[in-house]
Amino acid sequence: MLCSTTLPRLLLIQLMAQLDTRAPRDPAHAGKVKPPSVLVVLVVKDGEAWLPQCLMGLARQTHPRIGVLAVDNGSDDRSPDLLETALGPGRVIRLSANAGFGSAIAVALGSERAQQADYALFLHDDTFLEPEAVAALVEAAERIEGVGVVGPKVLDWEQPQVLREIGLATDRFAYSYSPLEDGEIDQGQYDRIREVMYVSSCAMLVSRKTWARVGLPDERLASGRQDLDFCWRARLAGFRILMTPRAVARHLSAGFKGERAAPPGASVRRYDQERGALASILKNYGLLTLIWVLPLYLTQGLVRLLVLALFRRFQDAYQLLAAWGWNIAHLPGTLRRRVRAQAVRSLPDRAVRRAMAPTTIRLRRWAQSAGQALLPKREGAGEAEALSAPTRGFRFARDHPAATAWALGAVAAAFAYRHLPGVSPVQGGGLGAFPSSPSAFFAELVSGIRHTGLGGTTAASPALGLLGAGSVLALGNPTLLEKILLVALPAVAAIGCYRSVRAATDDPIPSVMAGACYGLCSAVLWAISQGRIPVLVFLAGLPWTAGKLVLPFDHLGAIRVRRWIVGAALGLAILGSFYLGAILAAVVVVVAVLIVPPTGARRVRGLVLVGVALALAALLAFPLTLEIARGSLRGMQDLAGEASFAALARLSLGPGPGSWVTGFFLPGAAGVALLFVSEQHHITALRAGVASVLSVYLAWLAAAGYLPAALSNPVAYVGVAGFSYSVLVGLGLASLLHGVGRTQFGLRQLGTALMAALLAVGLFGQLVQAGSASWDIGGPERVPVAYPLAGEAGGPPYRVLWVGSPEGDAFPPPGGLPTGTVAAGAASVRFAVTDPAGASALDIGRPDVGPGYARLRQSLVEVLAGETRHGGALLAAFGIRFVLAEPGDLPNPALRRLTRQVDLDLVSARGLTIFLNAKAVALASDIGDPAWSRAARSSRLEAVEALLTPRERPLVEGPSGQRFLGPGRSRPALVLLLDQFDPRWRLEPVVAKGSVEATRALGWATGFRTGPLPAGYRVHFGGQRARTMEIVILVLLWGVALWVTRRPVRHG
Amino acid sequence: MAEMEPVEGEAHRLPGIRVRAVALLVAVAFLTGSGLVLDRAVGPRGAAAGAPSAGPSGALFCPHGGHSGWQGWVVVTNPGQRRVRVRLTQLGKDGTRSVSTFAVGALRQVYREVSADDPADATQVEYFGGVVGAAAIVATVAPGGLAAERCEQAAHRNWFVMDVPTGAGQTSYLVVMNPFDEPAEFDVVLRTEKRVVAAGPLSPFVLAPRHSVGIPVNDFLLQGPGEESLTARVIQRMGRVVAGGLALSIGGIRIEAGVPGAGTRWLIPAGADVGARHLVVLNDGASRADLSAVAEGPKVQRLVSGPEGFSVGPAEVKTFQTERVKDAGLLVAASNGRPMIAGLRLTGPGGDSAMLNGSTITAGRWLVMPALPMSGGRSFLLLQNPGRGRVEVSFRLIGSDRPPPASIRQRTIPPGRTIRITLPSQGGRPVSALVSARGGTIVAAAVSYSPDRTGYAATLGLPMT
Repeated sequence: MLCSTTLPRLLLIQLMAQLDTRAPRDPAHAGKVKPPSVLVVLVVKDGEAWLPQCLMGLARQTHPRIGVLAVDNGSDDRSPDLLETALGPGRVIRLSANAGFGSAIAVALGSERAQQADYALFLHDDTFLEPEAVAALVEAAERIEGVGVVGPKVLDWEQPQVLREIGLATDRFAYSYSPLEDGEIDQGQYDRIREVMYVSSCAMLVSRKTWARVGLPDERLASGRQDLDFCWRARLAGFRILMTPRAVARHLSAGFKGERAAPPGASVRRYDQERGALASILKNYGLLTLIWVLPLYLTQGLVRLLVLALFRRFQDAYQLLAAWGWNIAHLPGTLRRRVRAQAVRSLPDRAVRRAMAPTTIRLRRWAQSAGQALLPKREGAGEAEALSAPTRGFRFARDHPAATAWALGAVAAAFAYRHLPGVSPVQGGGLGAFPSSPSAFFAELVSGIRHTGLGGTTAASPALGLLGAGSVLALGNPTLLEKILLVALPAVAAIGCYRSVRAATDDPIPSVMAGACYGLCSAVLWAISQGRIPVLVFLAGLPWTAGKLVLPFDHLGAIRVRRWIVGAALGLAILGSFYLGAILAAVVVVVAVLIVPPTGARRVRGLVLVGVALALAALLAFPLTLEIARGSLRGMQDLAGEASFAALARLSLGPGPGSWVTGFFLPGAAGVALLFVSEQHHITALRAGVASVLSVYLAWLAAAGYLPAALSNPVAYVGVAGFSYSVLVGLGLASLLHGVGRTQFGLRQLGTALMAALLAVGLFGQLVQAGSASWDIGGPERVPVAYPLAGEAGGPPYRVLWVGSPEGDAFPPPGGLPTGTVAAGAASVRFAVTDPAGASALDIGRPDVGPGYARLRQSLVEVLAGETRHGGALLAAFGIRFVLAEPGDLPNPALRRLTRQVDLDLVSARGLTIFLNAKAVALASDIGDPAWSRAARSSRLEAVEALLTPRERPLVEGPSGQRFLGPGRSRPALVLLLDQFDPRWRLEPVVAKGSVEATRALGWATGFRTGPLPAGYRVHFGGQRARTMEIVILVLLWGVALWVTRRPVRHG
Repeated sequence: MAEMEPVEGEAHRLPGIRVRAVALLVAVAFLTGSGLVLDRAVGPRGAAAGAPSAGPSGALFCPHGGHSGWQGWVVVTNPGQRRVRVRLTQLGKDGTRSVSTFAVGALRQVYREVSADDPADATQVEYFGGVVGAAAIVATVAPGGLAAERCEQAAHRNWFVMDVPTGAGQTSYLVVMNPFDEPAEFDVVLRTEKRVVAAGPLSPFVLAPRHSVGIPVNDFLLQGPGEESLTARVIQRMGRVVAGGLALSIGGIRIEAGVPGAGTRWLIPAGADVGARHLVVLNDGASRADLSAVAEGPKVQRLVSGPEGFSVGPAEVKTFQTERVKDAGLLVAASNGRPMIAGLRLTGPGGDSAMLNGSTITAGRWLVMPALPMSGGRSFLLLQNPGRGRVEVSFRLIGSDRPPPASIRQRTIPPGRTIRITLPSQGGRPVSALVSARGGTIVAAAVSYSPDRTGYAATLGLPMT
């Protein structure tokens, strides 16, 4: 380090004495051409440690006419004394407080000394000038016409071979850009005078004409932003901004490096940057340019704001918002300065923009950062040049396994998803239709009533909020989000597994292999094939969850309890809100930890913390949690998975890619790994082994129907098994590969070969299956050609009932996933109720519970196992106009039962078995038939099956689905809403006062028995306010949770 | 081999491979074994049987037709212990003519007059809360015309109407009803001993929802010499229909509900008839059907098909005049196992005739509805025991009013025999009979005379399975 506080004071004073710090007044020189005078304005703040070096640099300058005026910005150290000792009290201005760099400059340039100087050199106290620096700066300013500002080549204070600055640029949004790479060595590559957008104020030579014309630096901005703003204004005024390499300075960047004591609240880099950028934009762009730049700036700002919020960088987001707020608050001052800047304008914006960096510069930066993250520098990288291409490739793969996996994954994904980009939107499998607009997600989230299935007031899952935000980020296109999720989530799952294994082994190759195993395991491929986005979210989040849940048992002292609880709760709430089965998976993980605890584990405390986290997770999804707790735990159930031990052991949950027997590679490799895993990892491996075995048995019991419905989720268990297998593979590989090249041939090599063979065959098999792209999901062609018969039948709103074999999974598109099963012996079926458009993504994470579903099950039992032949009437009471089944999927006894129904007519159709139910009632109607009024009062099914199709009058529905208008009539009638009963519905006559309370109709729906209402009536839902309050509380809860688990501010 | 470096660090040493290998093998064996046991021995849990709570409901379809000046009734009999709600829907060529609802008390029968003045007339009987049987009866105002049919329980893809004659002095209609909510499309194929006619206007014929039609068969095919029988087959293409036949002649009238399918054995509990019996056999298959016909009388059993039996070629209809055995039911069986359809044309004492289609099944309980209008007449139960053992039968008579009709004492039916029992009336009004068999299964039918014995009608009972 050059700077030394131990420099003898005398020496310093002597050096300073040599300086000609004033313009010469000797008449003998009056006739000669004098070199221009330079006033060095040295701004000092707590610079005692490096100030002597700075002053030394000044003292050695060769330029003959230099004066120094120091401004101390309220230093708390000995800097003022040092300055006065070196320069004399007359050359030091002491400010009582830190007024900022701009104000200090203003004070200095307002002094008498400044009036005599031809140039001012703004100088930071942590900048050391080489002896020729000032002379070179002046030379450049004098020799080149029109120069207003000149800066030096700036090197690192401690490593003078490293370039720090050669002039700077900005993009269109005034974000700084330096052409230098981080740590770039000065080899003379920039040694030419460069015209730049701006130079740093650490050493900035400014001509008198310039500051006289454009004014002083904007004192409101932070020091790092004043220089850009000042240079921009100088450029607008027609002055050129240069960097001359002949002038060399070394800059410590004491503030940036934290060597200068930071003022309170100093972590505001983003705030300063944003505030300065926006202020500069507002001041310096012409009006026409502002018209297009400002909206673009705001758009990208909003996106950044959303991204920052999503990644829990709330402080960064806050700084961004605060910067905008500052600009709004200081708009009058900005406008005054704008008037001044624009008044001296002599160049158009396009001339200024030539000095700016291209807009895409940020993208390139991000790509470079990603490349650096993926391809960390390795020692000996240069040796590859003499090797053959395959060897180089192999070495590259060995040295950069993550990058290689990314590349291979990208190629595989390109093959596997080759059909997806062209189709819009994706359909099939269990994929519910995404709405056309992000607002639909938010609307359903805040809505007091459910718009899907059998209606009711079951709260939407908080997952909709995340999907809505994601849709906004996906350019406001939920369909694009759908595809992004399908493509990205498997990769996220693989990365999660990679990170888990990497954390345990710190070895990239086994981690990559584990990630690949998990990302390509049969369960993940099945989830892609079925378009099961919630399952993919669960599988992607499972590695994180598993890692998180082990922590309180393992390293209790190493975790921050409050942050851990809230973080785990948040994660569980997110996963659970997408896929309720995630909770079961978490329980299995905890059980495995309890069975095989870490050394010195504290089981009770761990359990308590996990319990608290689970309770908090329930709180974070509280409206939904309450519904689940109150209604049914069936929401945890998943009907996927066949009761085949072999299939479940290889993680195959159904037909489709991933179901080949090659899927056995993973349990096989996991078994081999168990054999070879080292002592270092044996507890983790044993735990993973226990978790996988336990999961497979649970999966079988769930698929075979031996577990209660609430625990019957083979997908959750298979997910845990898949992750556990992959972790085992990673641990086993890490153990085997450690020193495999340096030990004698033996078990280690044999084990490695066996693992390699298993993984090669298995992963290749999985890749081939994925590459075949024979996913269940696809384009509109997946929808049976006959579906429009049922889906586009027209008339008043109605519902569609999907039925099929109880062992099946998703219905043909757009039927989506089954709600559950109906036990009817050999005629048992699985079923789902949708509107004509089919399953909806608005139901993600929301169980089908409520009296309507219970009643529908009961009705289906009557049809399929009972002696009724008026099933149409029973289903009509749910507004079900069509019963649909995939040919061959429906069990024959069930088909016979349906066929024999008097009032269900089999419609001739290709690719679908369709039963028409002509008795179906409109979902909101006014029914004058007294038989319907009588039946509505009864909870017995017999009352319904004898009903005839009523001569109903459908109500006119409002846009929100919470308000209906009914026609006027002179007779009593039944107003029937085929929505699950909620007493908060109200009927109000248009003219008369008062309201009619809702009653339970037909055993499950909402009805109003009314007298004559000649002027008509309104039906509306009165529970929206409560729901809104719930959402407000939910938002607050999530906000608090996110704040507690926020990430620290990122610098740079 | 060059000496290799040892792996540094205890943590990375591969420990106890042998022990681990054994443990792993044991674990894999256990997993495999338990997996096999779970998959093959335990298996998935069977679906629970549903627990329906509602009573039965259903519908009966009566494509009876009618003609100008005729009267029609539907008799609905409730053999159960619970009151049953019934909805009667009358269909015609213009759609639904009327809908009425009423209740039928436990062990009661209800007569309802229905429209029967057009060949398209048909009636649908829907019941709720219990099972009922129904029969349709039509009668001419003038003496001599009486006909009845058992109402059918379901629609089927095929209907065979065995007797729609169009010979001299005969007029027939094919009565097809579509009481459902979807349009129906069907083909009609007419067949005699000599010809098969698939008339263009009937291939296909589209019938609107909740409509019925009486297709005049005479417009498409007139029987000529050598053509003793004319049958019709209704082949459903879309939707659902129920078909029957209506025949008018100088001698009387006949109505018959269609037969939904072929069988290898037909039981026709006929009796109380006079004159010749004509067995009409339709072989709709692709190969010849060899038949034997056995008359099972009260005391005798006789092979009426002769020692060589009857033979009906593929896609052929044939009429056989069988030897008459008094009050004998008929057992028609395909000796070569080919399915066919058999019906017996009977003649009453007044010259009126009836077509009695057989049953392919036997049952332990039969509900036999009267084949008479409310005004009464004489009614007989015919019970055929095609089995090899004696069958004890008991009776429960069901009338329209209280007190219940006088009961009939228990009877025994020897194997291979048919017995005839005269049904009492309740205040002069016909009654239904619930027949229960013990020791075997039987087939039951009712035959009736109008009060003046000029009318003759027969209906098969309704098996109560």
